[in-house]
Amino acid sequence: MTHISDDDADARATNPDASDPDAHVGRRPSTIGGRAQVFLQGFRFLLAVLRARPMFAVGYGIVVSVIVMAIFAPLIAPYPPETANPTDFLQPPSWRHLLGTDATGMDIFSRIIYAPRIDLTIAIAGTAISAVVGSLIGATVGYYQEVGGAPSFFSGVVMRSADVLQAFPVFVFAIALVAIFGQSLQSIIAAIAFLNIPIYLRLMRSQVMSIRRMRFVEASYVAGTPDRFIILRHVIPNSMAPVLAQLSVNIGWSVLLTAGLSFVGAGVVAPTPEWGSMIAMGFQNIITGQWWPSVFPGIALAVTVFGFALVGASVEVLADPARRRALSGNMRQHRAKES
Amino acid sequence: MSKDSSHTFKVSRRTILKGSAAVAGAALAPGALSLGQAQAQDRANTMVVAAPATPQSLDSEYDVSLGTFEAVACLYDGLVAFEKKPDAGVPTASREDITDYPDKPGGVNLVGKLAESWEVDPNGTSVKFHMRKGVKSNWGNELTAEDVVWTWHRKLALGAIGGFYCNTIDLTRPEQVKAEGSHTVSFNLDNPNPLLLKLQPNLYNPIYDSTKLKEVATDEDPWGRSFLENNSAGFGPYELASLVRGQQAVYKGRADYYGGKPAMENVIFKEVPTSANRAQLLQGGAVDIAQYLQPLEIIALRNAPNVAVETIQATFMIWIELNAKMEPFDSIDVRRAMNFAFPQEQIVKTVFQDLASPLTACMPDLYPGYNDDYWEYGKQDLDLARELIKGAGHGDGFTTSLSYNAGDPVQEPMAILYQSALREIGVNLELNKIPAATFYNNVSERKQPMIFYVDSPWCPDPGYSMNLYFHSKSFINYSNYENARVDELIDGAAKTNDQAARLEMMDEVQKHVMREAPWVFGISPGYTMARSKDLMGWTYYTSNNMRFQDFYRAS
Repeated sequence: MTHISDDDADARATNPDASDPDAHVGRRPSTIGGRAQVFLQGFRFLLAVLRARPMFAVGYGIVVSVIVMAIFAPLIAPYPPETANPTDFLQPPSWRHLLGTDATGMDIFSRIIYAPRIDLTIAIAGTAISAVVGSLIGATVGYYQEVGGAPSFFSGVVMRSADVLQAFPVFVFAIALVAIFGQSLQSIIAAIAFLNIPIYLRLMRSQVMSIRRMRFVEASYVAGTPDRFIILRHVIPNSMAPVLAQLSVNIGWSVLLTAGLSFVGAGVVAPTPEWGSMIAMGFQNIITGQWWPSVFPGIALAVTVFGFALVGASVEVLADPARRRALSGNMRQHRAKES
Repeated sequence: MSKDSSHTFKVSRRTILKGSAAVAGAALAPGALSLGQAQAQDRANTMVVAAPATPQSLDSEYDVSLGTFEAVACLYDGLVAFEKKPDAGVPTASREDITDYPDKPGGVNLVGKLAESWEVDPNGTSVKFHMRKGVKSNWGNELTAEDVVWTWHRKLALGAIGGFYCNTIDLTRPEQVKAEGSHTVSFNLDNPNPLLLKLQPNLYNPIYDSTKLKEVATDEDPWGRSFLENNSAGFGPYELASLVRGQQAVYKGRADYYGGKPAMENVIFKEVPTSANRAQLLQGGAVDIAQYLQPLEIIALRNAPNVAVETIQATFMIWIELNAKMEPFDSIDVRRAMNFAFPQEQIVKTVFQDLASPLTACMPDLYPGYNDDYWEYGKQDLDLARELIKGAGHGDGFTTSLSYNAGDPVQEPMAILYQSALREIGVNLELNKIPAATFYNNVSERKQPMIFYVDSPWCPDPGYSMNLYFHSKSFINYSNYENARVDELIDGAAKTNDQAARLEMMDEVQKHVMREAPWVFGISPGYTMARSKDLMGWTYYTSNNMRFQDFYRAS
């Protein structure tokens, strides 16, 4: 979805969505009624999209469920997630313990319900920090990339630093960062943010480099608007689409990375309910027949990452005008066939 | 599904999972074993061991890593060894006879190894060993008294593990160990020492081939340290055929060994880091012995055909050091409260599957002098623990942390169970998982308020055990425990050969220690031998390692 400043005639002229009948969802209406109408239209469009691409609906369903589960965990979970019960250790799934218990008697269902509180907090916080920091750096670098002199040199240095950062194996680098900063929630968030910054930096830079050449930016520059204002008000808002599409995919990836770190002992500290940590605590029991302490958290992890991937895919489609037009065309054909 | 049935290997879904785990395990294990490897060798005289680690060094002075224990035990021999006797609980196993024998020299029941005979001075200040003649090292050099002298001088000079043993018997000067002839050597102390003879069978008191080590010595390395990193020079029943660290060590039985060539002529010692993989390899017949298995794996293997699993009373002890120099554990009442809150019985049942017993004293229960009369923490008593904490001025409880070893799978569940119990008395226990590689640094730094420790004193003597853990000047008194009376008793017991008086003194030490609780007295796990059914002859040693030379294949 593209955001265009209403004040800028050039922006309208260059808006790639201008000829798109569904592009109205991105414009800022002037009245409350108008906004409501736009919202409703947008919602209807989203429903139509989900009907046309049911897997997107599955993705949204998973993500919403996981978020609801995290928020209402104390109401849903039948047992405290961190209290061991030695009289009930390694119980298989039953009505009393829906997904069984682990080696210390903790209820696996309750822990799975609580786990997204940690996993999503880490993933969302890490991704958000990286998106903000990476986008700001990327926008600055992209804006000054071709102006020559010191700013260009500085941009080059930043890009080469990002190359170096991305040359390290991600997982090993994450373990090293956590080892350096200590094993805590903040360290894991910092590690995830640090690792993701180059992704957003590159995305934003490439977008900004093309936006910068547009007439509404040039007009603003000629009008004497400070660079800082141009970047924040005109350039970044019009370059956000790929960043937004990347967010969901990255959250899923961060959940996976968090679980991976916990699995190798570099993530959250036991007995904090976290999927990777739960898998690590239970995987040795598979060989002795107690598969449930590790398999159920594994399934929860896989489904969640899959959900975020699907949401990411949907945002990618919806944020890309060409693909959105193609989708709209398909939907119209579909409706025509039905009628 | 009942708990018992959950341990069987009957359900098809499990079979699929197990099969996957086995394939993955075999594929992931460094130097992955083909399942037919053991069979491909001559099974009658070849033994394959799945171990958690290969030896890091072949020098007993510096390395106490897991794989090195077995290496030292097969490459080297000591002067004497404890006589063996059948184990009362496990008919197929033998164990060292570590009982006190007042009528025998030094009060111990020994058999000769490199020494044929020995004479102990009645006042306990000296012992003379007459060496076996015609004994050859793996380099072909004949054993002489000079080898013993050089070995002990090396301990004194390097001052590492051997230095600790020298201190233990109060051997401070090189001239105290001297050759009395080509095959006679004497140890001469300034004061009587009850451990002078008893310490000789210790696994880490082997005799080196000094002729070879002098050959390879340099000005910078006069004691052959570099050479012993990768080579051996000893008089043991095996020689090292190859060593690829992280993969495997291969030992070859020596035909010229004075005790005869070992029945297991070839030993392949494979590194398989994950215990589940080791268990799977044993079950599949790819290895003959799987070391250091987890309790649930041991239980599961009991149902496996062609596998024998036996757990024997051992010297292992797992406890939690309470740092007596840090708040709130500078208070005896708080330390006692931590013991009353410890869910010992539950841990034995859940984490150890009853393959362990509660640690009821501050030394192994099979050592002479052990006394559990002072054990008062057997029943978890949260009310009393709460009262003690309140009395110590921590009415609302407190927050502390427990550090545990990421490489030891039993410590995390133990810590979680303990955390839940302590929560009920207002103690917020934060868990601190420390990577195995740096765990022992954390232990020895003594900066953690609570930290797990696993150990066993390798000399079956109460004075030795008490000195290790509770003398204020001991290097491994990791709880910073200090009691002048305890120090006095330990020092006193180290200077007399009157065993009855020593036992009395050590009894009093146990009384003080149990009352003042510098540890959370944890668990005493058994030693488990998981082996092919046809592999016989195993002996349990107080050093909790096996010796390949004991084994033979049942025909």
